[in-house]
Amino acid sequence: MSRKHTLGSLLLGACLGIGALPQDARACGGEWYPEVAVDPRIHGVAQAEKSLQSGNRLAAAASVIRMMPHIKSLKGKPGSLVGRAERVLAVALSRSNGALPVAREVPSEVLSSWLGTKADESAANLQWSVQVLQRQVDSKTDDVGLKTDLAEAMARIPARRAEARVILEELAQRDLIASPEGYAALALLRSESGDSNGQKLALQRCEAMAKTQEACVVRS
Amino acid sequence: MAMDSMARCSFWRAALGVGLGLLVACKSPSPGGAPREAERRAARSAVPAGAPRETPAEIFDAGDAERGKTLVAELECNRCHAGTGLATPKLDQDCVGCHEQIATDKFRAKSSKLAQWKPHVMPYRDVPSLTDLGARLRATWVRDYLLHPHDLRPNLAQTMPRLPLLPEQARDIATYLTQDVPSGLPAVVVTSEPAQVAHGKELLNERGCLSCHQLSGAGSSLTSKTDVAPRTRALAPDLRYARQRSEPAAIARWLLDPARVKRDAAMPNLGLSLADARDLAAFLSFGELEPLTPPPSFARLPVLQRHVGFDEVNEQVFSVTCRHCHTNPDLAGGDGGPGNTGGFGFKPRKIDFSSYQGIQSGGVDARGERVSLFAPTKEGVPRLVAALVARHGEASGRESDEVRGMPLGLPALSAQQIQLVETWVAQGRPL
Repeated sequence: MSRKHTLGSLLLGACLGIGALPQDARACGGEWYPEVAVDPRIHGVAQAEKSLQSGNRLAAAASVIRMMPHIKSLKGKPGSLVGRAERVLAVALSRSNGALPVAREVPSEVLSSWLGTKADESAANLQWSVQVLQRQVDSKTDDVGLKTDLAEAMARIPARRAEARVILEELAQRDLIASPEGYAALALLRSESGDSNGQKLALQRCEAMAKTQEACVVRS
Repeated sequence: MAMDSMARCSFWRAALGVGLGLLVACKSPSPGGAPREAERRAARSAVPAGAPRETPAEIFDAGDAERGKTLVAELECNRCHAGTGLATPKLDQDCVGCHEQIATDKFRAKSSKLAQWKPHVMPYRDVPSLTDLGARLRATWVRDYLLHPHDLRPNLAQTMPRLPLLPEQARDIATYLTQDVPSGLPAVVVTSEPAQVAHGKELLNERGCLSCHQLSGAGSSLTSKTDVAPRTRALAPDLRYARQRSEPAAIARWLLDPARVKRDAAMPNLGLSLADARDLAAFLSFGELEPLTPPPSFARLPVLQRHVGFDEVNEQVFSVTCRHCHTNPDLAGGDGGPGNTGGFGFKPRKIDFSSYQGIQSGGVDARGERVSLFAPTKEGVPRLVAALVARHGEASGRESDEVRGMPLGLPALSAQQIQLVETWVAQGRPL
């Protein structure tokens, strides 16, 4: 009876012991050590955000595509790593009118349609930008930074410009446009509606905020 | 991420910390109102030599202690103070505990990070405990101090923050905190008899009280020695306020045996005789003090003529001060600090100083609407600048009705830092 118990205990102990071994472990010189893997994309996405803020939109976009080649099939929540990466790429795309000349920075097998060399590709890219940003705004309705980005992207699509104008005018009224590019987009929209004085004011705000005047160049 | 939460917790502990500051001996009545008003009253009621012992002018209209306890929990007083009757919070919510771990290399972080954080947390490791408050402090004073905190401890960097409290809430908290009085404390009669007061003044010098304490308005006849380690002096209050904070007899009992009045007293037992404790209390309660000259109003410097970009103002101000309590919750484990996701009784204001876009995005006002941080106040000053300026006023008892001084409970920014922010705003908030 007691031998049975001892054997049972040994077997149980062995099973538990095996179960307790770290799943991610490696053998080295006869010893086991746990393997700790840090996702390099955490740092990468933060760097991409900085690049975008400092005006290097192509570098920001390229790094996101390299880190997450299948990003089009992902749907991150705003604020999550994927969500932040999506936002960087969406904003970079809209600021590049849907065409990202990143052939040198991104391996050809993951380039997909990001180059946007054809009109329908760049248009689809802009649509994707708006979709991503709209989805994020919908789940974070209070984020005026996201709203600014969304309106900026919408302003690149003729059919969405009226919506963009509504968003930006409402934010401008409360001094809540969160980026110089947002004011540049507002200037464009005001200009198209013949509000030259309003365009001038929006451009002034953009120029006061922007690091380089390139951000305030109005592209229709 | 760790840095964010660490820094937040650290500054916050410190900030809330100082609060109900209670260390020492003290006395006298302090009716409702700002410190300056309280002082004026104290000055007016200076007791003539030989007059019988004065009693506090105001009888405390006790509130609801249970509600007070709930408020203490809601305001998270235990994140900074011990002795609240609440459990010690987890480390990431425990301001003082977290700072202490960083200061003593026990916090789990890279040594390079610890070295970076240490200088910031060193001044924020001490906060007065609220243990046995009822034996030392007048409930009226506690109530008023909660509503109008001011710089009570000159050797402590932080002060009690101005919390979102209504007068009745402050009364309930004061009721709760002062409800328990240890039994068996000796009866002491303190009078304003001139000989006792004069002897008390001598004792103050002889016993080296001013090695740790300050006594504003004492004149030049009292000498201050500063050979005591700064941390030892950190919690020592300005004895000027003793007469407002405590009954004369409570001061005497405290001086006689601090640990008997407060279990975790930091004040050492000076080995005073009953008569000496009484006389010292008499001086602190009735001794003549010169009226305090209010500090001059803070004068803003003119905006700079040179360009000030975001990187500069962020490095000098936003990232080193504002960001600790107002950060992006997505980058800080969901807790953007009390000034973002809420805390210490504050509703979520959703202010984010972690990025340029976050700052431009403003914050949520009391009505729940997003408003710009740069919207002008009634005086036409951008709100952000007004809040930084208001902190200077709060330190000397001049509170703004329109904005709460920032950084909350922490030392005011320098005139140069405020000038930098104001210049940046005036230039259109350039990147």
